[in-house]
Amino acid sequence: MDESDPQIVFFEDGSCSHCRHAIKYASSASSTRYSLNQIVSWIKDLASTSNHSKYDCIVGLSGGVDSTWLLHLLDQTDLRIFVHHVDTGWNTPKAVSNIYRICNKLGQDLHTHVLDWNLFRQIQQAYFYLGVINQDVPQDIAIFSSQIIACKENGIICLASGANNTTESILPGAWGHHWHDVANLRKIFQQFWHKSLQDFPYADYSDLAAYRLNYYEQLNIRTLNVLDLIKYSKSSAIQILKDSYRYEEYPHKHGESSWTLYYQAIYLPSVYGIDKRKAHLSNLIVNHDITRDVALEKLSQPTLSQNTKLELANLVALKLGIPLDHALEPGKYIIPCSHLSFSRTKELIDSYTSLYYQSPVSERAKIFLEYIASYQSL
Amino acid sequence: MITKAIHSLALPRPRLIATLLIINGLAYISYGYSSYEYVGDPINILNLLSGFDVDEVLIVDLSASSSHQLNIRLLSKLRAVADFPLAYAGGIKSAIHADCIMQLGFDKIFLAACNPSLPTLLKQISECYGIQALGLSVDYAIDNNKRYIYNPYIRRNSQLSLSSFLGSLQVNLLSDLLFSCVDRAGHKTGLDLSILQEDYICVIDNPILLSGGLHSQGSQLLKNVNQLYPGVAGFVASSSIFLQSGSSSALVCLERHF
Repeated sequence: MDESDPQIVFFEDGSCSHCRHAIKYASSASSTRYSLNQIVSWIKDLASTSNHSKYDCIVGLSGGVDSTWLLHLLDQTDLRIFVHHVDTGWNTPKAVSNIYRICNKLGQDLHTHVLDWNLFRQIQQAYFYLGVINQDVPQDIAIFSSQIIACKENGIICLASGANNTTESILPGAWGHHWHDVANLRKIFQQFWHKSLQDFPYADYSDLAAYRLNYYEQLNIRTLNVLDLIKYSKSSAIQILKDSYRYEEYPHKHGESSWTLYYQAIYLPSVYGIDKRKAHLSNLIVNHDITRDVALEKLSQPTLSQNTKLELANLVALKLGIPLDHALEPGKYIIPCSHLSFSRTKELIDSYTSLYYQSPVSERAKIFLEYIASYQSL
Repeated sequence: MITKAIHSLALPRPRLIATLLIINGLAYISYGYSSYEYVGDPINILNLLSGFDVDEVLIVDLSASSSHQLNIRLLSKLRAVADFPLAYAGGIKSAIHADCIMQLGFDKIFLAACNPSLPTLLKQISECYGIQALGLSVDYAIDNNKRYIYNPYIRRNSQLSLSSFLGSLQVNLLSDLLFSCVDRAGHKTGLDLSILQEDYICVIDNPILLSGGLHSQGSQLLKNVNQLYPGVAGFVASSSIFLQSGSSSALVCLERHF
């Protein structure tokens, strides 16, 4: 990592705050790994508290390595799995193929929620032209709220998630914004379109906030980041998925979504001068998956070839209905703008999040209610 | 029949054509032409199809059929994203409409059997662009083991039998004949293969496409269909079925078996 994260701190031995955090996490995590049987036992215990569900847990499947590996693992057990996919309109051909192949081989039915594209396109146009840093907020809110609703509709208590810190523990806070900041999204939409946003998101903010805090008592859904609880090697997982399902590896991180790839490989470098590969590669160095020299060599190469960049920008331009020039070189046309310009919700979320975690369990219900009331009054 | 045998030898395998059904600019799946399920952004679905072994895509714009207005903006975007041959159906009421579609870079136009200007349009379009650029979409429904032309405006069979319709059709003015079984559309209950044994089908030399009911379980049959049914030039599947379910896709399964 380097100074492209304005909050980075370097120490005398040459290490930085991110590496120290990631190494500390990795060493603490390695001492608290569980067996898959133990995980299954927890899920079954949770499921036993819901007496009307046909399913023990939900698994959100994006077609990426993490969620595909999670489904592979859990399918080997006798868990009854609800496989859920949210189609945000940006699935890549490889993602669809990977999703099909594993579901077909395992005999799992895929439950797909397709977003209202006309509305979603308008939200993404607003985010794009108003120049905020986290262009993935609309997708994230849609995906997580859809999962929450699927759980509630099917009486599912456990959300088995493929999210993990093993490969994503380094991510500068200054490069993003809270994924569940619905109020900020509404303000951005209103600012751009001069009308209020209807019918989005699908879940209440209190449910999204409870999900974010893992406040089980409020949400009645427990999230298990399974890949953080067991031993997980991404490279081994990919090989097994290839052998078992003809899984096709993506040439780029987040290659399952054309939008996320565009946002990370074209939008962020062009508008903000941020290369997210630095964070991803730093993570791999800390995990001893690659050496620093290999990482530097990769960074010296362009993220996308010229052809791939043009194809991706062309797709974004066609889908969003914007000129190709804007999609290809957004930095020439878009002025970076902080999320804080639209609402001051970030400070509120930050302060209540730390207050929630620092408080005794007995006080958390009261703090949560205060948090939601304050948030919704903004 | 000799002509068809030669035709089948020339084709290494039947064509696989995906349909993209458009209503108000968005993609849908039809169930028996009576209910429709939203499946997303047509641009991305077309982009996804580029990752599969699809020979052609047929874009059917139902809104254009009812409004008689072509969605030129969307069609030009779809043409820009597709790297395979594109055919179009919906709202073609004049030679000018056909010209607009071909100018966008589409490869073929399918007229509907119920189009009131069918004889005139067949002549005008085939003269202008050649018969290879013109196909006919014949929607039919089965009643008492007889096939009748389906009228989408009244949502039921017309009184016109399929055999009578084909008997009066100038098949030499067009290439592909697409037979869509309305009762099976979207239900994955299997194609209406028995239509191929009807005398009025056997005498047709045009490439025959079948649609309605394609499902993955029938893929083994489809693999050998050009030996069993030499008249079949290809199959048409809903473009989006593989997005909806992991275990009953026709499209991806066909990709593997051919």
